[in-house]
Amino acid sequence: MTRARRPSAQTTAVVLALADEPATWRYGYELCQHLGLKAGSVYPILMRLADRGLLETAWETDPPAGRPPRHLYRLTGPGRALAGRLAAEAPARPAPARRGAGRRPRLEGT
Amino acid sequence: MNRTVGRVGGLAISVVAAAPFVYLWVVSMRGADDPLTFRARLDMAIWIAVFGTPWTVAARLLWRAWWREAGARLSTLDGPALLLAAAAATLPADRRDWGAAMTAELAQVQGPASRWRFAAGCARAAVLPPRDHRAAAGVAGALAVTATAAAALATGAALPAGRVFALTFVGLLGGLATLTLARSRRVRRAGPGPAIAGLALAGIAGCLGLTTWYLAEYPSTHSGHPPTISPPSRRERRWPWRCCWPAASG
Repeated sequence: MTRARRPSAQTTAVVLALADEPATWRYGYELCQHLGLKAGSVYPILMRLADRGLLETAWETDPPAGRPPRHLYRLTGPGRALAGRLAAEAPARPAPARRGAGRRPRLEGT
Repeated sequence: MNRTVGRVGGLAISVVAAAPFVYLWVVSMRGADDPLTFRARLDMAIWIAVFGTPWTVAARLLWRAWWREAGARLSTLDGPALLLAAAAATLPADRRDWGAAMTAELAQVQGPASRWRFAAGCARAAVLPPRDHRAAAGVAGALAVTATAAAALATGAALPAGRVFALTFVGLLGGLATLTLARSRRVRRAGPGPAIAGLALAGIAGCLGLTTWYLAEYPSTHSGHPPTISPPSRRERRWPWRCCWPAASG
């Protein structure tokens, strides 16, 4: 059984970033750039959130020619509930400006 | 281009596989107290070639099999992509999707420095995927370090000639055990496989330790001199049956 622990500051940042637009699918590299975190920090967090049912994943259905489909992430219901709790506990922070928004991804299974 | 890389790689693998045997021959030639005849050198070279050729051929065959399967595709990748591909290949089955995800994401990263940073971070996440039993992995790592230090101290006192082997062997085993525990999904009781592997490793360590002890106890067996009959050592006088060793004893 997984022991409940308070999420780290980096995990909190990832969850809150995903909760900014909870219905929007996000890319992993986009999250790294948005939060200023390294891939070696972000991807283990995403893996752990997915393991705990807080994050759902999907693959792009319509990638550009010559490029493999990318993996996409957004919070599940329990993930959004966790984001709400973390947001209530965190001090007020300015909304981060989104960089490199790009085109809206098209997904399979959504 | 791919064929050239494949051939050069195969040649390099053959050279690497043969290098230890060549080194052994050179050390044997230099270690002899008296100059060896041409015939003695040739005999030694033939023996080393007999033992070394199967390993070299096996290494070459493994390279060819790997190159046909994956090498030609990998040769089209740059450094960061190769690093990430190698790391993603080590992912456990339940994490393979994440390996594909990180590889696909790398295609979006532009610039050599950014690509190396992204690939290095993802490679770390792939080699050490997150698990919920960090404490167990930490304990295993601490035990590995303790066992390595203890092995070095013990062999340093009892069998100095075997210290390098003991240090390397125990260190590698401890490191592999720690890494395996850190990457496994659940800390659970192992089946018969690891026990059998443990017995085999203990057997290997025992054989090598016994050989090291024997060479330290009877140094004349590896002096390179032809076998001669000499007065028994103090140990042999205490244990007369040891005089039955063939003329290899000094």
